[in-house]
Amino acid sequence: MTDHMARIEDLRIRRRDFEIDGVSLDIARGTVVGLVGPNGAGKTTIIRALLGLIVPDSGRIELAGHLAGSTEGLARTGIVLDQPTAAPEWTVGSIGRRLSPFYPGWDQGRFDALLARLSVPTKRTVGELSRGQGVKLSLATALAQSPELLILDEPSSGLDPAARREIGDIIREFMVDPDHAVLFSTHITSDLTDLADELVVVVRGRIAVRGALTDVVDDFAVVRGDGPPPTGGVLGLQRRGDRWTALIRIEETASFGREAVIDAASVDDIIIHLGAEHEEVHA
Amino acid sequence: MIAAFVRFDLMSWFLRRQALLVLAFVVLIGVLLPVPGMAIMTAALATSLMISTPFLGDERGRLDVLYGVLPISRSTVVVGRVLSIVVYYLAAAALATAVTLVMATVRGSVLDAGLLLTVHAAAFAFVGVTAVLQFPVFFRIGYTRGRLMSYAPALVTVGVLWLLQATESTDAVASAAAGISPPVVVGGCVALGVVGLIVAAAVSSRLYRTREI
Repeated sequence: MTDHMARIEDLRIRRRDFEIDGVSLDIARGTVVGLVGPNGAGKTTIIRALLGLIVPDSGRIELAGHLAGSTEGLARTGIVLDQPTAAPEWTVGSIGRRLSPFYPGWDQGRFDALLARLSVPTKRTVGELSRGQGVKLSLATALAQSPELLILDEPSSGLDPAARREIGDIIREFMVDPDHAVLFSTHITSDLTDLADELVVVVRGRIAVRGALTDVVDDFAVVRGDGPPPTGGVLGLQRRGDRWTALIRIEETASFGREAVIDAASVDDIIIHLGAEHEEVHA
Repeated sequence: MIAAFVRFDLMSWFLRRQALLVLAFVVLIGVLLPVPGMAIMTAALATSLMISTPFLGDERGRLDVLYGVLPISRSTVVVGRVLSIVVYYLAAAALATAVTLVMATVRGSVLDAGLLLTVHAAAFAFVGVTAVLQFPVFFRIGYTRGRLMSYAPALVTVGVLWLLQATESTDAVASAAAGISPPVVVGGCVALGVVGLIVAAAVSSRLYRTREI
């Protein structure tokens, strides 16, 4: 058994108006990796490459110890996308019957229990579900496959806080098994608090920051001021008229005068500022 | 896994209203037209029109993404889809044959078994040829961008018939065909149908393997 559930090495994908540029990523067993970044940063493209849905120009991708897109790797991976992959006329209750032949580890009891717990009505068709119910259905479907790796791509967009908390609880229960791992892509960074072990910030197709969630947050600060913005030590800058905020390394705080207002950086601060201007940073 | 996919695929679209209406149309042709074999040829034509239907369902339900993340190879998807269309054709052909037999009894006419066999073989050949024309397109670019291909086999057929009429070669072609022994015609048509399906699956697999979903 390998110590990682997924591994991406030097992934490069170049399309007409988009580029993934040298992304490398490890998802170790027993860890929850949060993949964050602004819309269009490349999070979904990285996940699609991991699943073998797109063919990269170069790079090596392993999923559960097998090449990307291999049936062996996919059999051990549960996938939750932002919308269910099911025909609108299917009833929720029929999905187990339809999908179970493809998954040796399909657990119908678990599927039914999760649908009940998440209050997804089994007699309704997929087309009649709300967006939140659709995501819950996807989660129940993914977990019924008895996966070792769970990949969630923007599952919480459009969900109410209670539903987001419920999903967080289910992921924590999934992670009780130390051999399991989760890759959680989101732009709602609060979903990752108390959940992610590692944070990967993707900006413009590159990994801009990575590290343990606590380290990443502790390693940065936001400086606020007005007038001419600073140049040295600034990793990203946001301007509104004369006022500016800059993302800096925590050790750079001393170089800003007493007049500068310096706050702890949140994950959102990091994403927003690096989205404006970025360079590779390791926390 | 191919059998599992065929079952899954048929569950997804076979019992939908459009598929059933097309089968009803085959029955209607068998009832209304007194020409023996017309319903059987209609079954083949109906199948050619139905090839696009599951691809439409794939896009509506994001099933193309589902196929991408199911632990099955893309070749399994292709072969399974081709076979599910063959199952649909066999159901349509069986229905057409039953209607043809019933209507012959009702009309008191005598059916030529050899003629029925030849029509069946020709219909199967038509399905094979239409499979080659349509499956690779739909697997490569999907329903939305390839939907005009749904009508290609019917248009090509109409075009060939018009050409034969326009060049007054219908009789010549018919007499040439009559000169070939029926077993050769049947064998040739069945071979054409089988080869068509195999080529359709092989080319589609190649094109679908690298399609980005």
